[in-house]
Amino acid sequence: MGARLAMSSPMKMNNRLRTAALTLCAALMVTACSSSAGKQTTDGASLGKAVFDQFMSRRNATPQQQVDLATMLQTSRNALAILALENSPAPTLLQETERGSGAQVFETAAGQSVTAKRGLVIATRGLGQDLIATEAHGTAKLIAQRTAGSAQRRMEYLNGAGETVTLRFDCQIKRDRIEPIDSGVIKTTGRLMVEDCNGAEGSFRNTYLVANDGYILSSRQWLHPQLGSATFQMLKR
Amino acid sequence: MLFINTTGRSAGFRRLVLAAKGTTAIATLAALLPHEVAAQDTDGPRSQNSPSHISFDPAIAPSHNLYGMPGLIDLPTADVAPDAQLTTTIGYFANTTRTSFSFQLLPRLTTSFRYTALADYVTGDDGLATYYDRSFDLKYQLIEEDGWRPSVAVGLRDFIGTGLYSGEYLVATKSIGSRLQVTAGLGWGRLAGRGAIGGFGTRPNDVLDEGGVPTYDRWFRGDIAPFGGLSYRVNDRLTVSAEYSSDAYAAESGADPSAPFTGPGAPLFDRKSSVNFGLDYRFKGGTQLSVYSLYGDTIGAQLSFSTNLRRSPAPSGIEGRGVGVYQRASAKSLGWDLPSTTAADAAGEAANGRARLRDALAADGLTYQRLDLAPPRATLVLRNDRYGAEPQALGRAARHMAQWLPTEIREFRIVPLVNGVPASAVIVARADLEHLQHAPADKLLKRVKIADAAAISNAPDAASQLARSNWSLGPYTQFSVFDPDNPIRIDAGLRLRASYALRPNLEVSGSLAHKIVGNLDSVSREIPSNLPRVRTDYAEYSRQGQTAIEHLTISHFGRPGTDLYSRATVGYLETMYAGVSGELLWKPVDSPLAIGAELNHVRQRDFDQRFGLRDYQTTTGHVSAYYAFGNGFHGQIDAGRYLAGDYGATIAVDREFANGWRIGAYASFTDVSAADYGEGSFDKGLRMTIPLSWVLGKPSRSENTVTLQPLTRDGAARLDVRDRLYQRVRDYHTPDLSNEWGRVWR
Repeated sequence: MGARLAMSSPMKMNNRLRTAALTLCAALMVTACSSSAGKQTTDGASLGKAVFDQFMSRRNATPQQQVDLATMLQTSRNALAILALENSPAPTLLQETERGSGAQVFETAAGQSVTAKRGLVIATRGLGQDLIATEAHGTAKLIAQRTAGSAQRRMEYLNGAGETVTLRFDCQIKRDRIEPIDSGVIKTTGRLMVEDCNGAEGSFRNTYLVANDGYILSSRQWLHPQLGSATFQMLKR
Repeated sequence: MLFINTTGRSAGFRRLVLAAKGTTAIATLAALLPHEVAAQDTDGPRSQNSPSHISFDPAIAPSHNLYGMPGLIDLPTADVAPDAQLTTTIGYFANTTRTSFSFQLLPRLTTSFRYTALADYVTGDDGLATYYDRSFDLKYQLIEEDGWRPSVAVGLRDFIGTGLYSGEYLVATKSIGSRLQVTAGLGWGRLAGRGAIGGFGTRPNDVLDEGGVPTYDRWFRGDIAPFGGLSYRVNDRLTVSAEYSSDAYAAESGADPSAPFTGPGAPLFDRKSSVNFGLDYRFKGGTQLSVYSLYGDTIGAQLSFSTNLRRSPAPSGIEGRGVGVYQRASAKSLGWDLPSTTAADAAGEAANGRARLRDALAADGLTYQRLDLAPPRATLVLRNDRYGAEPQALGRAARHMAQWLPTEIREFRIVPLVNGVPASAVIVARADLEHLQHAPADKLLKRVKIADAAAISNAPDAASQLARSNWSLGPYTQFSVFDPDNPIRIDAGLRLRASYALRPNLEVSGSLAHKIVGNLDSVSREIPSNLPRVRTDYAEYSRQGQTAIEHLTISHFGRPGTDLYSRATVGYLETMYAGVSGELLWKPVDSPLAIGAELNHVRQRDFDQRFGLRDYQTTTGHVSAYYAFGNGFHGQIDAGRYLAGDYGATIAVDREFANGWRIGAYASFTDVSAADYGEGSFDKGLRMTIPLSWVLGKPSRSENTVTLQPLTRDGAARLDVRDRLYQRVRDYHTPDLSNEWGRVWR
């Protein structure tokens, strides 16, 4: 009987949905007949019903998942990792589902995913506030080689207006000390690397624990202006 | 049982330990902080004043005044709301209820529509009745606050129509410190009712034409009076304010019986003082509750709800990832055989492959229609039933093709169908998908070609499982507003919709509505009209149309040639008219300009909305020009002949967002004189499209378009036929695809 790990979804629908729904209902107080131009149309009534359903399902569903971690570590053929968002109560287990083009995709049971290149997170999906894409070739190279240097980052997001927003940062990478890591089936030591990034919109710091082959075993990476940073750690490579 | 605890910070680490009670830790989660900054908070960029284009932080709207505009209590300030902020306010004081919808149309331009009810004010059937007023405001911020400079704005209040609240102002607002804000301004019209210090010309009082016309003859004329006020932000939630108002409320306070708009029900309150006080409380979600002490005599309160169309609860959506572009597999392993030994074998193998692709697409809400293989190119014709952001549908289709088509296929051509006809062809190379799937989306856009698809066959192939028929049964509501006898009327009932596709582009469609409850038919007001009653019989239609055939039509859609789209609809086209409707649209895939022509011959339907027809028949038609300005604005001009036989044009301007929101206004000018048109002088209205996907955070093609028309008259009335071409075809053309391209990898 292994230890059981309770998981919950790292993504919480927040109060803004409520405000949006309320304002929508207020605005819909003066709806007239809906026209049929454009996409499929709904009326005020079915739109209101859809909002209400979504609202109720968000309140009721807190997906809890009992996972027998020890067994998973022994039997799973795929890589396993843990993601802990800054503002989230509990970490989430991810399993590798796809691999290729130098990247690995790790997915949660709920269908959210993190894409990482040798442990460097380059994208997330399904969090509602996703990192859409990252260009950090310089950073990736320096981290993998565990050398100090400077590089530039470009991180892409979608804002509420549906527009693509690109944030650019200038980053300094420094070597730090050697640290041991004991995570899942991984027991080894690695080099701590620190990346300090500055951009017009602000600055952040990422820290990485890098194995001898250049793979990032554990890290704290900044993902999104609203979500902040997350800890991403491998349990099994 | 597991619990998570945070141990104290050792030299350089903060560990989150996953520990089983009574057993040793099985996993150590290390949140790593370099030792030299262990005490620092390393949050990422969360700037207080984030540039508006980032739009991540929640937008905080300024306080709105009793007129629904950013302001103090009754007076305006030079503040603006964040761009694309939509605010609804409902305020009450002294028998006056003011409901307004305020929209920040541009970063500097605030617009507001207000509906006011003065209870027990005018003479009615049994004693006093309510006086209703619609008004429209504009405010433009000339200068933004910066350093020593205050912000300055100019505004027009109630500038169209009868002008109960008609006034103009020039106002300046300055922040002093982080909490205090001082406002001072000059007012004209109603805002110069008290304490005038000068004047400029005379201000006429007559109503222009039949009302409903911008009162340009009054603007900035007449007395000028100063006003001012200040507000103090006590904390994040509470703000207190005080103002000196120049509004005399001459009519409502009964102070001057000769004042225009004085009603027999005046006075509604006693204007004892020019000073007002207010308290605003902001709740967590942004809702505001305000309480006021007004004019030394009365108390008022207001609720404001606000949302920003450029923000969203889940901007990138909560839907899952879809497939990636990772493995290349040979034809055989995927169930294909290219080339094959015999034609029969090839057909059988290909059917397997097609079926797999079809099922994979269906899981993503995409309906397979046909697949043509001509190595190295494959053409997939499909219908997008799920994604409001069309690039998301295209991106997922491309990824499915990459997964299920053999490596011999190096170029994917995706052809989305609209009303059964190809709307465009999006061509992407497999190699580009593989190389660019982790790259920013615009890199893929540069490599993708979007071309016309007129020549591509849309006939379903053997693997297609396109359902020919579908139907739905659901509730409906219909509102009618602004009738002074009953400002909001609602009908509610059940609606049965059904459609059958004889061919992909030939559809029989119908909708039956059964009214269960409602009061739309209780219109007793006699609506005079010098024009044929093409629209003003709506009360009769509601009264007699208990079970109504909303529409019953056969529609044909076609591609007569490159860049050309056609529609022909026959039958009961809408609730009031039956006949024939034909439309032709010219729209090249990469052009922001489109030109269309529509011609209809219709006959008015019986009030019971069954199969009968009335005598009135007419030919209507328009030539239309559509233009996407590229900065979020879209314009449309339709010129032609309307239902009542009048000739003229309708101009519409909309602000459109990539998330599907649209807000706009339209006005029509015809050869009908204002006298013949009647009250309102000319046809105008506001409209808003609300995308369901924005509300839910999940993909959806559903949207609700709300049109707010101050008056229903017979002038400039267009046929309300379904499936007009432009709005559907444009989704898959370059301008709209480019705007929403950020979702292609979603």
